[in-house]
Amino acid sequence: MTALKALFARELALAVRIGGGALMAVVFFLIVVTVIPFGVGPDLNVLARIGPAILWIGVLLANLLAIDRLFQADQEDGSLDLIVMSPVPLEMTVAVKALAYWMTTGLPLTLAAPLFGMMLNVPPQALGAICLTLLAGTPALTFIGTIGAALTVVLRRGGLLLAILVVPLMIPVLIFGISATTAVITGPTPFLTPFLILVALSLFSLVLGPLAAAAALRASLD
Amino acid sequence: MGLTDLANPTRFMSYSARIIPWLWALAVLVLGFGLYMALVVSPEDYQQGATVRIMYIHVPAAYMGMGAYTLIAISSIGTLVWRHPLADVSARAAAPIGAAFTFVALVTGSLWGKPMWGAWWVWDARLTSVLVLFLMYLGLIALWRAFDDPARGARIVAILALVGFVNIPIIKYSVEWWNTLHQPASLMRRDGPSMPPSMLVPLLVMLAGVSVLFVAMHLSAMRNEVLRRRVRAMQITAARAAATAGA
Amino acid sequence: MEILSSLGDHAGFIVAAYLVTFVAIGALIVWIRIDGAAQKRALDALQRRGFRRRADIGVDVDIDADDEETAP
Repeated sequence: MTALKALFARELALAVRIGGGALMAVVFFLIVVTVIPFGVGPDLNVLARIGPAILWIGVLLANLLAIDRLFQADQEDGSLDLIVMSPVPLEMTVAVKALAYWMTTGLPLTLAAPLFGMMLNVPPQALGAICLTLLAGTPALTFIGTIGAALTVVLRRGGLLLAILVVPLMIPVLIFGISATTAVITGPTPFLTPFLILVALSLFSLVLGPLAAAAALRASLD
Repeated sequence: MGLTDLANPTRFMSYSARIIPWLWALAVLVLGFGLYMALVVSPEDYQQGATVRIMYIHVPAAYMGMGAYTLIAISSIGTLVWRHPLADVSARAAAPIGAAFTFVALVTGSLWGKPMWGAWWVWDARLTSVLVLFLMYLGLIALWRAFDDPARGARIVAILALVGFVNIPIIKYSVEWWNTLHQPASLMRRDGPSMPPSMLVPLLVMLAGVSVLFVAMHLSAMRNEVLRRRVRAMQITAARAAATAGA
Repeated sequence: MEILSSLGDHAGFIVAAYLVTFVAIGALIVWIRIDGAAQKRALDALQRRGFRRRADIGVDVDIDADDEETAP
């Protein structure tokens, strides 16, 4: 337990320190949100309609941005070998690393989303829904991304490949996240149905992610 | 002989060499008969007219795309649990074939949709699921190609294949949910709840023919993969021998 | 040709669908054959140079040892 706590503290410290990427994802998210109106035009009605989708897709992309470094940095300096060999179950280690990544990427993105949503003229009641769905959905994005990070850990140019591998798996999260949000604005479905499925997807990936990522790490370091 | 005998690569090579010609012949026979039934014998649909004839290749292609992924997933279990080299060979040989059938399903789906819906691509639940499946095939193939040593990538790709396989039903369900949300059921369904025997029989014959064709292609591709690995192993030995002779 | 005329207004789409299928699957079959021939040629060339197979298919996994073969 202390080992996991130490690892968690180390991950957070590495992300927050100079050279870490804690706020980079939020800046990237802002850039995505800024670029979209240049494409679709500044019409506020249009932006309000597609706002939730822009926010969700922006978060999805921003969340992928640095996740390829999740294990790669440890692999390069050799600490990954120590982590794999340690008596702590690798699944737990992976889960803690993913959790730390979510704390420094998914959570800031979630907090920034309502702010950016106002820029896109998203109605106020939907801002809360955005925040809530992202809070429930970003863990799924992170834990699915963790699988991709582990699969591509030994590859030199894993970043692009990772996106190709994991984005198809994120489609359900995207669908239910955006459905729940738009349900608040336009209906006709209740908010709770897609939201509960979103939560279920998150819980499922919470189990699948560490299991698959740990298996991939063991296979990579053989 | 048992399954374990077949699992031995050398014996696999000798058995497969014997049955593959028969499989090709059977595939040509069944597919020829199926195409005759599909194009000549089967009636036109009362709603879609002759366009329904695209179904006889679209549905088998989509089915084969799914079937090949299932085969990859089963082979991946073989790779992960028993670390059997032939399991990886099987998965690797099936991927491009499955991708090709999925591609055919996409293109024929699009060609079927244009006269019926008036657009080349409609984000219909089934077509979209097939597109996601195609993307997953591309991911698998890309990951395989990223490892220069086939043995190294085998287990890693197997993990991806299984993760993808577990997710397929979830993706399918989600896409259907999304589809019913955005498109009211005003569009014509492309298949009725029940199909008359005059259409079902040609379809079943085509399904059988495509299955045999797939097995023939898969076994041939597996043989190529086994040979490729032998060549690679011998080239490495040859290079080592040359290096020691030179030193 | 009577098949063509019997396909109705959308004959082009039907023919295109069948054509794409034949080309795509046919190309893959041809590629499999060419690839097989190339691997066989490479193997024969190596065997002519006197190299033997060390392991069965060159994968670093334990394979039954009873199938150790020598090249002809």
